[in-house]
Amino acid sequence: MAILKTVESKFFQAEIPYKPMGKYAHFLTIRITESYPLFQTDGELNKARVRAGVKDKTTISRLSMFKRKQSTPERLVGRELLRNYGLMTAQECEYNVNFAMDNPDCIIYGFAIGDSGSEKSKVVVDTAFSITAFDESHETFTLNAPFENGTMASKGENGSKAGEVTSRINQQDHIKPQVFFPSIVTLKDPTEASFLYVFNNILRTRHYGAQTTRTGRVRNELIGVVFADGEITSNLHWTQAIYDQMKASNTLNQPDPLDEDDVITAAKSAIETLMVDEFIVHTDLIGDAFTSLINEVKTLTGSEKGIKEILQKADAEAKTYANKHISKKKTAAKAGKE
Amino acid sequence: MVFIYRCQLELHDSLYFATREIGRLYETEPIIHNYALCYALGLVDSEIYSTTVAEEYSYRYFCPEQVPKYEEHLTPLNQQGIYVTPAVAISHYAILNTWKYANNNYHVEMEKTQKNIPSFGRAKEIAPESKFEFFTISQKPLQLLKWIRLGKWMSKAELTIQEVTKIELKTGNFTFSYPLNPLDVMFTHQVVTYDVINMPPVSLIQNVSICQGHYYEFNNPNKTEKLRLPAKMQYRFKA
Repeated sequence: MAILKTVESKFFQAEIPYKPMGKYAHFLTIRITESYPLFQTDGELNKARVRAGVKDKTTISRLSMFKRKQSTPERLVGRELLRNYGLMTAQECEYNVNFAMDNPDCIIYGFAIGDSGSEKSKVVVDTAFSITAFDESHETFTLNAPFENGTMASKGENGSKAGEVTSRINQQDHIKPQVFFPSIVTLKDPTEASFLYVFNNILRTRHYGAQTTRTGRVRNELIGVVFADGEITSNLHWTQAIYDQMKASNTLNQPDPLDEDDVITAAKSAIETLMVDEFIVHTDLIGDAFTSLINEVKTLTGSEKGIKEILQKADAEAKTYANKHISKKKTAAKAGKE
Repeated sequence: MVFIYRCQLELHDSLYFATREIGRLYETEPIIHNYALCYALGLVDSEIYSTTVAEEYSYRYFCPEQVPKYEEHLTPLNQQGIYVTPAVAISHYAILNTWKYANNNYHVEMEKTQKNIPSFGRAKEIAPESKFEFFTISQKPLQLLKWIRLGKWMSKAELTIQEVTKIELKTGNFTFSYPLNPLDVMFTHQVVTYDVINMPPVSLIQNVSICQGHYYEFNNPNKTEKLRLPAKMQYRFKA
């Protein structure tokens, strides 16, 4: 029985298929930084030199949010919920250590374990790029570790020489608040429950990037969902189209941060224009059509009964799939080796 | 009747696959193997292109083992007369990325290494907005996808295709500067000289000169001289 009333059931698979069947749900999100997150690998923020817009061909450096730095926190939120509602224990399935291979997280987001095989991820995320250039989207902070008295000079604590100045000082680049990263999350072959599972993960995830800094607050503003029979435009293309649009309407008020309303308006009209150029079959839920869907989803995931129903259904589907396609395969593979 | 398409790929994300592994450095060469392209273009095991494969070799979300099935997967393309050449970068930049496996504990203790498997490394990737070019030869008109995914991280790339016109089939000595798969060309052509591009599973060759072979001649949109693309290429796996 269908959970959602605002979306036609034809966009969903009745069960998780074992082969790609060409149904896609694309979540259109704008990820907005709300504190000072850190996306880095080499002690330096990740960035890419790309064209500013589709029309504006000058090259600029943009901050980039690498794929797995988006999907991993979202996965972890889903796993947290599964454990909270007793559908998974920490012992039977540990992320990147020991995958149980039969729960919604493993089946929807995939896994790879040497001998036991691999499940391809049905969620595909691409690197997201900031709308504004790197120079105006980051700040350098000096970090220090002061003594108990709050100064950098020793008062003779713990055997140190009094008056000695600590060398515990460092510099680190951080991404500023109100930097916007348009990002499309693609879910292949969604069932209604897996669609809601991923939807809920995107809505609930609040922190991305380096966790230990506790500063990575990011809000996901969903502006729509596109159901299609194929892939749609890229994050980079969408970001560049937004940039063009905002430049044309003079809302790129550098060096001030962008206005959220301007970004959302530009993002909606940019994606609508881009979707016209796609030669695939697609149904776009953007604007009013999306409002009723997101309200319904928020009502569902906001109540214990609703979220439990989604998680249980997703879990039952994952178990059915695992029984049918994984355990059998695993024994067959083993038998083949002997 | 033959249809030849000049295809261009523009990367919209950084592209990574290991052409070679040098200790902890994983290097992506700006060349995409033609086997990989067939999969990325969706030509393998497809009802649209009539290349479905036997159920036991079909593409599935769950793979019990990591064994390539090139022969089983690409032979149906031969039957349909579809051939894709390897893609070469016509403009590209490389970027270095460090990657690591981390867990979600709040503190990590260093354990003694038990296996010789790196938990971090550096990957040389091809930057977004780099462009690649390749050719597709088909006996029937082909409609290819606009957005495809490539490499280990399934990076999005935009495909633009242009149908080549005024194709002439000729015989003679000729050279072809783009990369080719030697297995696919050497059974039908006498390859005289070439440069090797080292990569698994089949190293590619470029700047190939061929003696007395069949080729398609057509205008090269970028250059004044005509392009001569070897004809009768097929996926071959055994001599």
